[in-house]
Amino acid sequence: MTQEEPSLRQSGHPPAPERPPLDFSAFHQMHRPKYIRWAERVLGCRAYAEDAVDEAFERLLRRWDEVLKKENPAAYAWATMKNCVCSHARSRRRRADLTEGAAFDTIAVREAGDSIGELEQTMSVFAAISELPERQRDVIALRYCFDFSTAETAQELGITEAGVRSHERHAKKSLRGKFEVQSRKEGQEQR
Amino acid sequence: MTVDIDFLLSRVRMVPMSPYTDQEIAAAEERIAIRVAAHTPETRSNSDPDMALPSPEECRTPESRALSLRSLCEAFITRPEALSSLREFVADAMPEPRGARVLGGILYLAHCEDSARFWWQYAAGASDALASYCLYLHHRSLGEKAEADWWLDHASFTPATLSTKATRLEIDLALHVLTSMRRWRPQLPERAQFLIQCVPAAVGFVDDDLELPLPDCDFVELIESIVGEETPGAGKQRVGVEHLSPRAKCSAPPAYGSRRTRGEWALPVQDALRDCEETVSC
Repeated sequence: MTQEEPSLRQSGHPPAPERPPLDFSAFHQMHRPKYIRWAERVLGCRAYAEDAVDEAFERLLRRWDEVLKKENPAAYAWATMKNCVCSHARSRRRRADLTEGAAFDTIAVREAGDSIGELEQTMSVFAAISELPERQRDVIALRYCFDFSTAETAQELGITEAGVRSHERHAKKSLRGKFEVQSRKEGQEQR
Repeated sequence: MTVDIDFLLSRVRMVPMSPYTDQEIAAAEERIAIRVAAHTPETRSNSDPDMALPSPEECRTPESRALSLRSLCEAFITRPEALSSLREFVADAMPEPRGARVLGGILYLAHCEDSARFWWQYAAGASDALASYCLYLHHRSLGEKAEADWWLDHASFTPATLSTKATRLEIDLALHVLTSMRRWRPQLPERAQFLIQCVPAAVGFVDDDLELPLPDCDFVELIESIVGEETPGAGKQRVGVEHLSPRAKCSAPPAYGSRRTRGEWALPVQDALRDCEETVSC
């Protein structure tokens, strides 16, 4: 990278920005909408999401040649985006991941007649999801919260479709186990 | 009471976000370009493991774990006995753990991480310590500490020192040195490159539900063709590495022996592998 003059201090005019490489533009165009979707849910509003995702892509652009040489650029970019969203969340004193609060933004809660009951159940599902290992959590969030296809999920996470299905299978097994324990406990309490 | 997990998961679907337009993407790209231009670029720091020897703390980043795992895979797939262990990989008996570990290593280097994980879990279940250690590194590289530690506990190595912790640090350090040495090493031997390019195409998925990554007849032919080439006067043909596109289906003619298809993996073997896949949940 060439050394840029700190011209903001000297002349007051910002330097003309260089046009990013075409492959970066294509990458940005492909992934940005889905990154915004994720960021918006964690950070609570579009403006915060734009800020965090801008920072993530800025980091990627600065080291773009190195990013391209990585074993898995898509996975690296996804991790970079999550890191930025995480640090923005912390600085805004929010939890850094999809949490029970996301239940308020589900279709089920918005459209339910018994919204309190629905909310409670949905929050417990989000709580269970948040206890999964990170990769399984990401797969479930993309597949079920955002309704991404297996192919779209694989593309964002930088894994294969078979990998997505494998993580999904293990996650569901784990979630099923948690809810079975819970319903057994509730059954016992009712007796 | 059986839990309908699909019903529960259908409740977490979020309301759709407002559409994101091409104009917004273009505007964002301009903002990003301005941000990059407005600040002096970062100087290269020692935090990139490819650039300089990282400090001990930096050794433990997920990325450096992934690099260590790659170095480890390269080391054991290039050992002399690796090819013979792959030859033992037959369809009508339970695969040998050593061959399973080597297959996992090749698949990992070919970016088939989930298939690699399957075979390492299998080998680790048969007490292959190196496979357990690969799983430890793989989970660490994904930031999955709990799962990683579970596999580390199950990787029983002959202790190099009197304390388990010290032994683990020694292994860590050895891998760190091995990884750093990669920068000065020439490319992998041609045979290893050939395996990495061809093996993924010869490993297909059986069972629509569980997708077990099982080698098929091409895999057997592939291994035999390499062995054939290394036997003097065998006269077997081999597709040169330079003619293959990455992960292209190999068209090496059958060396010898009957064709085995994926369907010919014996049912008891498939059942046992299915159990293995379902039992391990990390």
